[in-house]
Amino acid sequence: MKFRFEQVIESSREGVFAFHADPSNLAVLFAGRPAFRLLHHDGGIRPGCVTWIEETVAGCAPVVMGFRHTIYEPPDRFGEELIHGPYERFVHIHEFEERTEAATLVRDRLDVSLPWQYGGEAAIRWIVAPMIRSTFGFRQRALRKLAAAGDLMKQAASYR
Amino acid sequence: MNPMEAATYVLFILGCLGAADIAIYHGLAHGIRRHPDSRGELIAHSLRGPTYAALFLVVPHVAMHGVWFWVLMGLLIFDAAISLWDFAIERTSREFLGGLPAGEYVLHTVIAMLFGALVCCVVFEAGSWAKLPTRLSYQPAPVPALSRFAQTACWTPWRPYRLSGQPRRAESVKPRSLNG
Repeated sequence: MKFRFEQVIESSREGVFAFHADPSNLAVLFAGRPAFRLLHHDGGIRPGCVTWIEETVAGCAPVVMGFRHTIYEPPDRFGEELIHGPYERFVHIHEFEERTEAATLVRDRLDVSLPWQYGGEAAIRWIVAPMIRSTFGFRQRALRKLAAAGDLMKQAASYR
Repeated sequence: MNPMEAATYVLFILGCLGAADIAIYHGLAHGIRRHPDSRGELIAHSLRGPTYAALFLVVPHVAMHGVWFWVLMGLLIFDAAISLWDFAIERTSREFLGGLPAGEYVLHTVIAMLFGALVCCVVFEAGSWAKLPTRLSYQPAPVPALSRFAQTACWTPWRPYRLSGQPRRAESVKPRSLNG
């Protein structure tokens, strides 16, 4: 199943990309969401780097997922794919389009599938999809708040 | 008649909880069969497979008199030893995956308590078998036949199947931890 999430952020494309280029900012982005935990990262998102996260499902099953970064084209896009976790396929592409000098369209494209033993396409549609939409809704709100407070640029500057 | 009525019910509950542990925590949440650090834990689980297959087969169906009763006790002691080893290595096995989930820790505690209950049931319900002449005989426990056969049919092939679970290396390089 494919997902697509878009939002316009009041920040320069370079700034938004630099914020995302530091995987430790995932903890900043998901602060206040106890279901999410950043476990490990390589300090960057260049191809070959890995990032491991944990997302707790139904309040009791902390699902661990490892991602390997595969695409790095600053400041246009980057991407990663699952190397450990329950999904058969989980590809996430982040794209950044300049709208004005101080506004960027942030687009997340996901391609997700589950093996049959976890319910396959039906489980994606009825269980996983609402969770992904909720997670990205939270992420979008957090990104907007960080940009409005000017924290996006501060975090990005500290990474540079 | 096979007196192990309570033991059969306890074993059935143990089987259900064990299956939930495998499906939710070992599989879905942590995917330990693909995690190299969990190799030791997988070996412990694989040893437990045939042990439980034997328990599911004999406890609800077979009267084990004389030396066979002590074989059954040996099986329970062997399983207790595997569990202790499992507990000892779990911390390092799951460290990279964020540690043992709280829910799994609770589940393991409940399973350990139920295992103690199973040993007590076997000793109290069938302890007198130890003094009888050595003999094995088919004597079903006084529980619904469907539940006896469901246990045997479902768990006996399932447990040894897990012996084939070999860890697959997911990562050749372990990434840097946030904590250094």
